[in-house]
Amino acid sequence: MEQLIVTLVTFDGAVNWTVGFLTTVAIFAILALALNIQWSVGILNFGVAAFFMVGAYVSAVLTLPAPEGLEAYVAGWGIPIPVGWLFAALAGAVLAILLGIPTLRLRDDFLAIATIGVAAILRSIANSVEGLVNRSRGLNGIDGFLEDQVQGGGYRWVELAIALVVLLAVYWLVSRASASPWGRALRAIRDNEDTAKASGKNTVKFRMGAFMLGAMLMGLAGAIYAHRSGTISPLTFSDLLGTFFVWTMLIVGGSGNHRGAVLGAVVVGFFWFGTPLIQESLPDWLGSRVFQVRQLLIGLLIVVFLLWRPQGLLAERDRVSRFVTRGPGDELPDGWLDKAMKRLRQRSAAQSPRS
Amino acid sequence: MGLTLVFGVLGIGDFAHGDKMGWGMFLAFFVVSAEGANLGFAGGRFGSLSFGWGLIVGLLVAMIGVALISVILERLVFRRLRAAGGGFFVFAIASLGISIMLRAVIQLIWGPSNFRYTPGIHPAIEILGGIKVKPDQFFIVGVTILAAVLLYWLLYRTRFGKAMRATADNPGLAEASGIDTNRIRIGTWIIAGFLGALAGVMLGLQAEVRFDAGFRLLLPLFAAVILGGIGNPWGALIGGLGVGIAQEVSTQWINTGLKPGIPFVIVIVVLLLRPRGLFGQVR
Amino acid sequence: MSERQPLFRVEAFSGGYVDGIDIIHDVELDLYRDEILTIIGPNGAGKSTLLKAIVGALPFERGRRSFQGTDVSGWSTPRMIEAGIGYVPQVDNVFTSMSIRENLEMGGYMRQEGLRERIAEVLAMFPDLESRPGERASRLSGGQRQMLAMARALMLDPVMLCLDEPTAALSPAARGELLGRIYGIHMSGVGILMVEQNATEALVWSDRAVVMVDGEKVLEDSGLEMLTSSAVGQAFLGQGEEGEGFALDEGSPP
Repeated sequence: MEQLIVTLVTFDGAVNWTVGFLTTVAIFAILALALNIQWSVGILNFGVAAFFMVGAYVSAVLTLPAPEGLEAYVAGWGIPIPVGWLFAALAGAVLAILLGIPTLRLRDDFLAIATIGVAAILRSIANSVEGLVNRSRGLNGIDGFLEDQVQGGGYRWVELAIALVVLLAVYWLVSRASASPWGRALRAIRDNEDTAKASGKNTVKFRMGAFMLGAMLMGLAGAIYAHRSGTISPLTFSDLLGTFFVWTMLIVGGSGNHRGAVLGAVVVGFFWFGTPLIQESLPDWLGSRVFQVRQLLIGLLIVVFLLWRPQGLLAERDRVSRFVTRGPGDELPDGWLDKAMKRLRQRSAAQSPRS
Repeated sequence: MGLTLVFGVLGIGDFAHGDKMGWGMFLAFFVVSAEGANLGFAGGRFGSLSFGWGLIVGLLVAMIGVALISVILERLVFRRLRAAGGGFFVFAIASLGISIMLRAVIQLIWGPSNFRYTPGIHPAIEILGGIKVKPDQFFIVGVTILAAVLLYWLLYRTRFGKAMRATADNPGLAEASGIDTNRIRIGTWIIAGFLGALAGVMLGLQAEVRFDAGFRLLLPLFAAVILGGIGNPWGALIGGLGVGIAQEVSTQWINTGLKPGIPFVIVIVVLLLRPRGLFGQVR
Repeated sequence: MSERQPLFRVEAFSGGYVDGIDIIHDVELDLYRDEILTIIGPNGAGKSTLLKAIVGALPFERGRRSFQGTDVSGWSTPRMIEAGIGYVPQVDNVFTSMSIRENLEMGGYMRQEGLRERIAEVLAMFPDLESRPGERASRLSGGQRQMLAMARALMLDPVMLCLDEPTAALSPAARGELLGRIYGIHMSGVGILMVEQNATEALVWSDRAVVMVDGEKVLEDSGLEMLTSSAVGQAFLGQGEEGEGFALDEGSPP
């Protein structure tokens, strides 16, 4: 990320920063969309970083030339970059299957713990197993897609174009998927797993499908990231940046809503990557701590949005209108349980039982 | 154990528990370190242990502090989320956000460096069979067993503890029996806070005081809780022991760098074989 | 005494889980201390909802409910329980991970004194439970669980007991035994209000019965009357929604 921290003293600097920023945001928006797909069936993936990382590493080792000198990593076949992307997506899906088989049938919380764990274990493998992915030295010199075709300094525009095109394609894909019968089944599962089960839908299969689709897209995002940044190391894929950051985007933008996920990526991304720009102009006591403050605010954003605007900046459509009054005998509207619970709490809080 | 309590009673997988341990660690460190020395707590050691009254006072401060943090968070965040009908997902994400915040604040105050409660090398003494143990470690084991016994007594022998179990079992029925579930929840957070702080201080004593130590322990913690069966204090103790031993023993065969992966493997294996944990009850 | 004071009275009562969407409409109901009153009706008629409303567990309500002459409209569940109303939900009505004795302790959580004595008294009413107070509730049979649930609700010496489908999911033998127990509790001076699907059996024990359809009270009569007059059964069957059958016709009276 550090290459983004450029001073905005010149017009060129400003343009370059903006292009770089948008490229990064586009990649994170893909992650947020992918997470949204999983979240929409109630999969609590706290290991986005793991899928992101797998995609990045797989594509990198496949497309890099054979290792030389001190370098030590597997593969190194120098295959074309788009093929690398494809394998990155596949790797994400494979990881999803491996994780999903033991956990998807069980309680929701176990998947959350398993995903957070797989991110930790993948980082420690990458860091400590010699000859796999160059350990903590990381992989360097990863070629950008089409980089050899572009002369001069214009390549950053190509990077932006690549990221945006992929983002648009992914957006189109997930929108189509949500609008399809498959997507409707997914929403039914999230809203009421028991009912969906009763109506004969194999919820585990559906959830596995959503988990895999999301994981593929995360892997793809990782591949794009790797080829764009040129260098990756286990440190790049921290829980904070790789996972929680994406969650913040989703919560802020509005979960259950694809436009919200993209908007969240832009807003949170601007906040995160924009902070270093103002570091210079801050008083010293704050400037020196700006990164910790930034982290604090990310956590705060999650909590604040959950408390006061749980639907995010862009609410899921078709939700509000369901609260209109209906006649007797109709089924209850969505969210009735929440409303009822709230009312009961208010009432029992208003009068303590012993008073 | 604190985690299993919160998990079981409140239905919240508290992802911030590790960072609360971190807070306990640092609050005690604050008392023990130079700032604390000015307050007159410095100096003195107990026999061959590496610490003196300073750490005991630090431990108390840490326990109260962490319990206070937990209660404030319950009031400000979790109670509101519960009233709004939030489920496990919402709690998990909120606790994750809180975890990030707590860690950031530790870094803001104490910086990213590592500390020790007492500088210097603390020699180990030999016990039977040439196994070397530090005196501090006896202390840690003793305190842990004491905490487990106290927790068991609380949960199974006191009215409040039984009400905690009832709330965990069936919150609706607990309320219909006239149990003030809000008070029970606050109490649970306080006890979990005490235990978390205790664990944090013990961890700081055993290893180093560092800002992300608590978070790094989160996975082994969850592994221990799952291994022992959620909400079961004995299970958590034995699960913790099992995970710890597995981690240490595994280094005989595999790369030390892979040690953090062991709890994860344990989690997966346990989930596959015994989803309710080794000591989980069949309902 | 022609003007007895009812133990519990519900007047012009409507309510539901969401503001503006009523499940029960304009119900009037009296329960006297010396009777067993059973509410019957097809699935989704609002029987359980009415029971919840009576113990203050319904979020939105209009109208008046009064208990022993006191207006208790808007009281929360803990307050109703403390006032002397026992409530046994249909499902999840025991603490499964706790022992029989612990369940009773929780039932008597609000008791300031005499907890031990009351546990002994309540256990004495249920020989099945008395023989093994340390048994975990999850190991009990369906009928025993139901008895434990009632025992828990009796811990605070209620004068009125609300039972939500106590015999659902029980074998015929267990149903008979349970209803006998309920009658026993009633004879010790507790007014009983219960909701039932197994209507025929429940009516045998009931002094009075109320039929609810679509959230409205459509019929009220003595239990015996209701049981013997198959014409009455047919009449409200015709009024009810098509499709959903009604429990009265499954065991036609002799």
